[in-house]
Amino acid sequence: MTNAPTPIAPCPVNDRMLTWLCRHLDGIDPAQQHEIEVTTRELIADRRGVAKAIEVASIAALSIRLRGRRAAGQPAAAWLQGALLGGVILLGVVAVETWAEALGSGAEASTRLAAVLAALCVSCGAAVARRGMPLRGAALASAGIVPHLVELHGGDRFFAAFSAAAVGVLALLLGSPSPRRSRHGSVAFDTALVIGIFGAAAVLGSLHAVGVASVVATGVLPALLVGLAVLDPRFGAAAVVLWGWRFIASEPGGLGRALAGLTDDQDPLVLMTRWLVMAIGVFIAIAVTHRAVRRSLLL
Amino acid sequence: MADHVPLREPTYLILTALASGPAHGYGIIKSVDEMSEGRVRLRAGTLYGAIDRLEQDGYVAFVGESSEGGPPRRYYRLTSAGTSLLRDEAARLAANADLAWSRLGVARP
Repeated sequence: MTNAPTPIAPCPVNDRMLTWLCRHLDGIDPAQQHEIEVTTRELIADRRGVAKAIEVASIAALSIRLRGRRAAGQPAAAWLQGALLGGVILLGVVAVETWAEALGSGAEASTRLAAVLAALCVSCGAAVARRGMPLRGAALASAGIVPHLVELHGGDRFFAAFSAAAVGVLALLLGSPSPRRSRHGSVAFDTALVIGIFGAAAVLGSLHAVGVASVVATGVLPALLVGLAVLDPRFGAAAVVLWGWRFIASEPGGLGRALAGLTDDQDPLVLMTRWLVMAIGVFIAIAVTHRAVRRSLLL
Repeated sequence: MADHVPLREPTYLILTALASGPAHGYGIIKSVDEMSEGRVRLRAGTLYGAIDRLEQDGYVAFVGESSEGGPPRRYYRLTSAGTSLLRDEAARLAANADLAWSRLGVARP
């Protein structure tokens, strides 16, 4: 007597995700999308949980890879489009921090007004740039951030806010938008971007955790982007912008002071370690992006 | 064409699977699995990413759809450029293998 094989439980989440992913594969005609779905279903028919999820994840990876391939076929395009994405993310972070500050602080009315104006302009500037108008986005963000920087002048946050805005705007000016637009809901996405920035800021402001945005933007998010760069080099270029900013802003002049033994408020070793970590981060992001661009040219 | 040699292993095996005649996606995956004796298991995402690129570059072409009792399947075949590419890569790999055997001083197994 032989044991009957254990029936494989259906997994509606994987099935639905597979259907959704296949129907949203960029630049693939519906017949080919159907073929990919049928093949994947055949492959996962006799597989269980994790193996099934890995196969579905390979379709998600294909989706990212195709999007990158269609939008940025040439190495230079991958770097430029990634720079724009990095600029948009960086300005988004500036907007979150500024909104959170304006919503949560007990500052003077003029300071708060400048912060609200800056946050509104920067978040709208990021959305405008994402829609393929980087110059207008950069102008809008710059116009909004200047009064805020004037209010902050001389304060502790001035250099961080200034450098983030400067790097973000510069990335928008140097970068170029993707020539391909999403088929669905671009306006809805941009509206959601602005509302999302405001929402994140409101939560962080109410929790008195403004610094979390900076940690996510300079730690978690770039690491995730570097991981995704294997599939689409543009993500790696965006990480270069984020870690590049952090490298610049980590400690203005700190390395020089540490080397000269002039620091009296911080351990020189801590400063040098921080500087070194940031430098390694930038180097890794550049190396991964460069390698991903080269790999994308191979068959 | 020389720009695309050397090929990545999955691409090489996909082209090899198509060398004996047209096949659909699932057939290619099974064929690669058999040829490599289970060593290379292509994921659907890897296969169709490679086919998309090979089709764009003119090495593989869509032949047509055919149904054998199940849902209609799309068949792919090697183009003449694809055949040349595979031949070039096979020659390169064979030359490298011959070099190693001669340096080892043993006959090719």
